[in-house]
Amino acid sequence: MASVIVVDTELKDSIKEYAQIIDAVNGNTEFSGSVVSDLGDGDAEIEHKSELITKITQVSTSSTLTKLSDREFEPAFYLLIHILSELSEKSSAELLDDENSYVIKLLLESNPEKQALVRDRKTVKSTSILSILTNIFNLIPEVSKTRIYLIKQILNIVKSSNIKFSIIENNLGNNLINWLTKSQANDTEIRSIFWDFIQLDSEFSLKSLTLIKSFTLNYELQSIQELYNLINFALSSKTVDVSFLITNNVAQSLQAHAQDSLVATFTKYVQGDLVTVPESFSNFKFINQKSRILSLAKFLSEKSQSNDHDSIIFKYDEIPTELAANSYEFETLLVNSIRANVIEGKLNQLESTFYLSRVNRFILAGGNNHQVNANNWNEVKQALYEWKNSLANINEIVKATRENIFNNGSA
Amino acid sequence: MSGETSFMHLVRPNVSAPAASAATGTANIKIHAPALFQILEIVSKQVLSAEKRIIGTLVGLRSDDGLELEIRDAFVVPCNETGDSITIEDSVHKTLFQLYKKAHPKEAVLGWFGSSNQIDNTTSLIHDFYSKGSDRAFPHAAIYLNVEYLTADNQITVPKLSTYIGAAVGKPAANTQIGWKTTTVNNSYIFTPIPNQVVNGSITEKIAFNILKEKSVNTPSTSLESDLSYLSKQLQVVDTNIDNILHYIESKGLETNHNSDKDIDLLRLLSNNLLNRPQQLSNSEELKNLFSAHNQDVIMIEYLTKAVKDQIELSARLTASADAEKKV
Repeated sequence: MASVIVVDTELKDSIKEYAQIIDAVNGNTEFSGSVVSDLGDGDAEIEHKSELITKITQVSTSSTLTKLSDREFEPAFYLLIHILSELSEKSSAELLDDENSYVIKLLLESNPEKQALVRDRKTVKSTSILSILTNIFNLIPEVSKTRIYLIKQILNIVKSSNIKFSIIENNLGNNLINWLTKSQANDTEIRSIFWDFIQLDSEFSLKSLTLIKSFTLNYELQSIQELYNLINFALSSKTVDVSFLITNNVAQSLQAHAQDSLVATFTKYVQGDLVTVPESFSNFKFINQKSRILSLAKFLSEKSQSNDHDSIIFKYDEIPTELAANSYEFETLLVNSIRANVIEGKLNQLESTFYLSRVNRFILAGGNNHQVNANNWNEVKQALYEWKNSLANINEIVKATRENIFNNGSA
Repeated sequence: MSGETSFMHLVRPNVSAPAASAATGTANIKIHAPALFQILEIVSKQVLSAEKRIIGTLVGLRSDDGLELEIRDAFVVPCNETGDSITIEDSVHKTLFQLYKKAHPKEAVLGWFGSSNQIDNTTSLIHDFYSKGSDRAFPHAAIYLNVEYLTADNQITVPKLSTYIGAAVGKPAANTQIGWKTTTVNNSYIFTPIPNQVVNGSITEKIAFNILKEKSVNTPSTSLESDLSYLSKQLQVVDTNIDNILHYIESKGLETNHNSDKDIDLLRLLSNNLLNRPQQLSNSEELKNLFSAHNQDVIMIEYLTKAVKDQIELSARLTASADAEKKV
């Protein structure tokens, strides 16, 4: 399933149509006049195809085409692709399957460098360029290397023209690696394109975090720079609990670079230890707040598991002072944690207690956490058995009630 | 939107339809399951004669910016293909759409569907038919849904759905006026694939679907179960699921062996959700406490909502009476 161009008119009529478009821009009839002689009479074949191609490519410069309005530019460009592929007797896929092809160069030159002023709202927009690029991408075969080049160009345009990341996030994000592998991009290319793509996300969204995760499932982080990219993204993101990012590959890389200060901070952060941020990390806006939330979650989960503590009821004054100095701060912190989806529970302000109903654990992959995870598995198993038993009881009660209703009804 | 696609779709291309706004984002098509069944039933007749083209109209909802489309229903429109030309029985399309419109006044024609293995000139002609004229997609852009389920040598395969939007090629559709008539000359399109997803409309549909799945088609009547036996059935389902998980954990010996990334994800999910569940089931006193606390919360919220509502009503009345006084 790919893009398909269907043109209903004869090639000659298409060329005339294109000539009219160019003439309308230039405000004269020069070009139409000059192509008429090349087209020949009536139904006769066009003789000098290559000359005609030269003529057309000479007039179709980016400065001419960008004078078209945004609505006219895209259709005109498709017509140009169609004419050129017909004249050169190639399919449009063959015509476009070349990084240095005239068409792709022309298109990239036409991308507006500056954001359009309100006054010239009709000028060609970057989204139109993107739309044509995606169509070219869809026209050329999956295995073509040109696709790699196109993806790079698309990322460039998104970066330079301030296009919203949300436009490319879903489609490009879900398929990027797949497409690149099909085009036989090498490992380094895939890595660099992937991180370029991720770094376009200025919102540091959860979706991008999951993309990073699925990337690390298949690719090891080879350089410390890649690890930095991941850490920077995770710490800048609004998502608080990023423990899901720590896959076996990431854990391995974290261990290898454990000496590095940023890596060490990150490791502490994901384990729920309170992180105090040095001055140099000031670009992570939320990290202090995020770390406090995680640290609270860790405190709650550890306390609820210890034998000498009630499993769900917490009093305000049990909370360590470095997390919350007074009850007001604690309540704010709790509300934030609940909003961050790390903790669930209920506050009782009258008795100043907190009923915990769910808290995130920090399950991390990697050899260091092997023992911790083994314990966690055992606990999960125990919880499952308990659940199973209580279900059996409920089922009996339900059955008994049914019997009761039935007997009473018949009596 | 999810899943992998072989094509790229970032921005909806420029279309020639007058009401379509400038494209600023990705387009997406939702196909409702009942509509899909309808479409499949219609196109399955293609198997009778490979030469005869079977097409139909898609009806449903379109968002204001034209980027979100919902296919809610479909009906067949007869057509006759002779060589390069094609005639579509416009009157049938009109009558059926008018009928449909009576029951669903808010819905409109979105485009058309067919079953063919390639896009050719005829596709473009039909697309043109649906893009122009009253009672069709005009003044919006039409979409084209293709169900490919016959291979080149007429063998039936798993239906493959693809959706396209026809972007304009060439000069912008100029309206040439001849006498009273205004005709638009532009039959050229570039068919750009756009993503689609099949959605299961409402909860009622899902329940009905589940019942259908359980009962064989020929069962004369389906009796709804009373609440309690349904409950105990569901409890059994949960019980089997728990058994499955336990079996998985024990068979792989996850406590001692090396954990793969998938197992870690499972452990994270389970321990985040299972541990720390309040022990209400074993402690009835606690349960009572929590239940009454919950009730109080609900009453409090109700009270607050009511207070806010009263405030709004009061202020509306005050404004109204102030206006009335002014007039006097």
